[in-house]
Amino acid sequence: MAIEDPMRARPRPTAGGVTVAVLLTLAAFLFILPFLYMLSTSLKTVGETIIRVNPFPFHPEFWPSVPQWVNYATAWTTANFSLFFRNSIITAALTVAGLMFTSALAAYAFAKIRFAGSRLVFSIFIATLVIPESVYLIPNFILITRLGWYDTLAGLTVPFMASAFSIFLLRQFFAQLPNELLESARMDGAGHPRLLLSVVLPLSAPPLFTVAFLAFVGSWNSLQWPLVATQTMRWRPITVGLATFVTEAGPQNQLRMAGAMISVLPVVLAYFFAQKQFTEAIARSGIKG
Amino acid sequence: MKKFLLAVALLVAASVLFAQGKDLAGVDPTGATINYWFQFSGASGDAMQKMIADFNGTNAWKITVNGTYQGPYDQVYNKMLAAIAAKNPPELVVAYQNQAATYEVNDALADMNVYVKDPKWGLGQDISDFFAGFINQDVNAQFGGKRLGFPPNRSLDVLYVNMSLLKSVGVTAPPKTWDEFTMDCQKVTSKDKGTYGYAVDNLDASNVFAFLISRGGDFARPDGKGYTLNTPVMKTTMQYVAGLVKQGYARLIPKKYDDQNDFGNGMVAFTTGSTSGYSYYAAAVKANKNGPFDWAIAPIPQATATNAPAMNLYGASVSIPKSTPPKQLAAWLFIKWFSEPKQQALWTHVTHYFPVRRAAEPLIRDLLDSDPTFAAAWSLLKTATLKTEPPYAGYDLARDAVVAAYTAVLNGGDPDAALSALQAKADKIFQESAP
Amino acid sequence: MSGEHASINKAPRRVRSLKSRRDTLAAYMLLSPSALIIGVFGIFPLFFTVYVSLFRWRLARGRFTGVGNFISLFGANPLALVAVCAAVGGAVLAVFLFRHRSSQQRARGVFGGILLALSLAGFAAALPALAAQGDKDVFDALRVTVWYCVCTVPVQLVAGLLLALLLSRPLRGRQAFRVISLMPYIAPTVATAAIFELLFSLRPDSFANQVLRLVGISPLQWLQEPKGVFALIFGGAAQTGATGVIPAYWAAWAQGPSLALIAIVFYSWWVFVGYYALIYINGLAAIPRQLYEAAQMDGAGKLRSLFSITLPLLSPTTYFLTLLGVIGTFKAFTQLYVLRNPAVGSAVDPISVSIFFTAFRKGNMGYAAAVSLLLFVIVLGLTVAQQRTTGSRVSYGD
Repeated sequence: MAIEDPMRARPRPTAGGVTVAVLLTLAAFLFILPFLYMLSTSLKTVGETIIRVNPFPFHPEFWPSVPQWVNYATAWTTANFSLFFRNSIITAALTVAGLMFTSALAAYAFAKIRFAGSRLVFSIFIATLVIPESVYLIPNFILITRLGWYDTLAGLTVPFMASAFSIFLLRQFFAQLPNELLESARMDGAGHPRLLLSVVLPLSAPPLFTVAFLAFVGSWNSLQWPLVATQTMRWRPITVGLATFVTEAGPQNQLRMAGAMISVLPVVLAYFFAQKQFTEAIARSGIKG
Repeated sequence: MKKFLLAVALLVAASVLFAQGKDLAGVDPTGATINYWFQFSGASGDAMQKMIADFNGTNAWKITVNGTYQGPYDQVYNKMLAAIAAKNPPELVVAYQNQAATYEVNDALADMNVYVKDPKWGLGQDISDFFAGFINQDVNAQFGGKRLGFPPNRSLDVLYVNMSLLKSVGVTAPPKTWDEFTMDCQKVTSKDKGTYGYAVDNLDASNVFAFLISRGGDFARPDGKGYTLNTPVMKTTMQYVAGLVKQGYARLIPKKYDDQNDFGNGMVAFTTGSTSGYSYYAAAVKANKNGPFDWAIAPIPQATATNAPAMNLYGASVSIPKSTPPKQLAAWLFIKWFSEPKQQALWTHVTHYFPVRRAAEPLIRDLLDSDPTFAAAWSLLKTATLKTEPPYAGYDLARDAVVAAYTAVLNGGDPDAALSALQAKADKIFQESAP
Repeated sequence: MSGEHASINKAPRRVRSLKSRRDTLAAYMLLSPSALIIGVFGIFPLFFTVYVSLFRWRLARGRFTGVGNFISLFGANPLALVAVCAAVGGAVLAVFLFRHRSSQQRARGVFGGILLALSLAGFAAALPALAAQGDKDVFDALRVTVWYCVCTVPVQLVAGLLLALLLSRPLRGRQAFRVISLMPYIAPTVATAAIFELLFSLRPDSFANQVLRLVGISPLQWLQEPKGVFALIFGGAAQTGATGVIPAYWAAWAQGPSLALIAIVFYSWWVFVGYYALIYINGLAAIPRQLYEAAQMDGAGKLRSLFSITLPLLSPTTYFLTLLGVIGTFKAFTQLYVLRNPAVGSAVDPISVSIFFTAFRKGNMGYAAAVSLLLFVIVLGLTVAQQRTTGSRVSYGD
């Protein structure tokens, strides 16, 4: 129902269609309004952030009288954003790769294999979801210090290369795949790794993408752990750079917002293009849930 | 009080005598590498790295300092607690007095008196060149007079004044007393022009402290064993500002440092804040769209006119976490180098922090001559009666509680209820954070 | 959350036992990488926390105190804690009786009803006693946590579902809508929280206050307002009316969540609705199209299909999101920490922030560990309760 061939599904202008369009536009406006605010503030002078502040985008006073693009240049050079970007991309890519590997294996085992202790192990995994982050911080910091992973890429990525959340999510999707598909492959003598690779994964592109995307966002946005687990700039991510810059810019909202825009845009663009590619891939392969 | 101070002094003397020769004899800092965690970023961060590089290249013992930015103060503090728990702290760290106290609750810091007073490595006669109010601040009574830090710089909580705005209503000098302050606020407040008297930085407990001491109060009990927050003078202090707010002469700010924006826009006559915010104010005034205006730094108004106003002195120090004797000594040698007049002057030029010793003054003469506002702040430092906030472990949380009570009173809440709740909360914090 | 394990082993019994042993081995092989990482970085910290909670532990281990930290947490008299636990246990038992009664066992139903009423009354009486003798800060923080959960999860579920239904219709620019709705979730919290600080600032010209002005309401303090919203709306009535009959503990509840917390709740809606919609869209995608076609042939309208096909078949997703939402809001830290303003005191500090301060401001790891365990037990209890009450009703479509 959700993911269909876009070629076939041309909307006809019905009353329902118009209502939907109106509702969606309204929703989209609410979602995007704070970003417009971010954009307009980032282009103001410091004075305008206080006195030229109409809060509604359709009013000229919402926008700066003359866009101050220089704010972006200032933000970019003050905070070392290019280094932070590189670090964030490497860290997130590595974390997501590791996480997808471990999660797909485990989710498959939980969803499609009946084995002794399955419920118990699953419950234990799930229980880790319940533990608050502040519990993790100290013990895990002690752990990575003992392992010699302080201020290394390993310390930033390995602890996040498995997550009960991702396993749970993937397992929900895997469980919905018809067993008949696996059975016929099994008749041909395929083992579990083969079943996973050649039957389950190709049919699970949407959930895999979703899980990978959520993991990517989680890694990209993490702040507390990278600050604690690093000492030098070597592997510090963009969030640390932004938090630093936000503090440094102090009351200068226009610079804070320019920094925020710089950190937001690439992720949004990346998602936009990834999602487009991905939806087209599904449309081509003709998979429908 | 006097007895108490005497006891502290004796303890200090005893610990120094005991420590001398025993701890540092035969310690060789040569070739030591130390990590230094700080919160300086931007221009001050760059300047600090440059100075560290200078030290690394020139010191006689081939000591290497690795200076690294660790986030703002509270993040440095969080990281330190984790690092102490993991027994992996740096060898040198920026810390407020109360933060150092929390580290020392866990027996994590070296007593720097050992270094300051050491015949070979210590300050010797130079110690008299340091401002006594500055360097005594780091000797902590909660820990038997151990020195938990050493000041690299200091600043004062002051009144920032828009002189042009004051002159436009016929006032020629900053207010000396709270009565004058009220009158000035009243005069500049104008609905038509959108101007008002005072942007209340209700989000910083240091301002409450500054106002309180101007009326003779204090946060800490005289015996240093807790807080006194539910006092008549505290009530007067808070109610006074609440009155200004109620009459529309003063407004609360939504966010830390937002008062600087109103100041820069020429909307407000007075703000309060650290002298270390000097360069931010200068930038804000420069960015004013009607061109820069006259502004000044003045002491916080007092209960009665005086030539020695009581003022809030603050600033983070650097502390030496326990490591190995050579590393601890190396960390001290870096601090000692940093406190030399030449380095102090350089640092002041970049950050507008006050140097911690008199000998730096000739070296910042150019700055004082070219910038009367900064010169005024500097001269305040020498005339004012300096007071400091409690160096208790856990004081950060008590500050938050003060801010909450202050804001409640400013918004018309019952001061008695707010202050008794505050006292209870602070007592709990003190007890739970104490050694 | 379990119980629908789909076995693919339909072989004769003899072969099956051998196969099942091989399967078990294979399963554990597949689980080993995640088990290793989760074990080391997810489960070990929990045991470490239990260990730490038994000591006076500042940043390093001090003396053993046994339940000392828990006595600071719950007060010295264990009676109140026992009473609260008994009331919760009674309520769980009552619900259990309701759900497992057959038509012949009316007595069970009646008994269950009486038990439930007694349990609720006992809970209402015992909890204030426990809060009075226990750590006030922790119980205040728990109240904030519950408000945050109650105000966010249901709204995000409904709005997320609606958005997913809208977005799963064929529509021009649908991709762009999807991206836009997810932008708040993708953007770093530090960045978006900085905007919300401006939008919900106490300045009269802030966005929130200008919107209020449009409907004729004077400016509010928003993120700097610690007063409860009910108390704000009904004036002091909520306060004064309560003191006589209702204990102070419940009177505090009656004031409602602080306005500052409500501003953070708005932020949470903004961030998470798109995320909930994303998960729902995946759930919708899994519903076989043929079902709708069959329903259409039977003459069912769109609304009918929604209630008889879509919602039931989405129940695993709803269940999953509810679970996640409850767990997530009880642990929620970053958005509340970043948007907290010292001016409101602890009015927006949930239990996770309280724990963080205990550990990282007071430097009191032992006590922080004890409170963490309380949080752990509460969330675990909620999860299990949710599983028992709604989990077994969830339809997995086969």
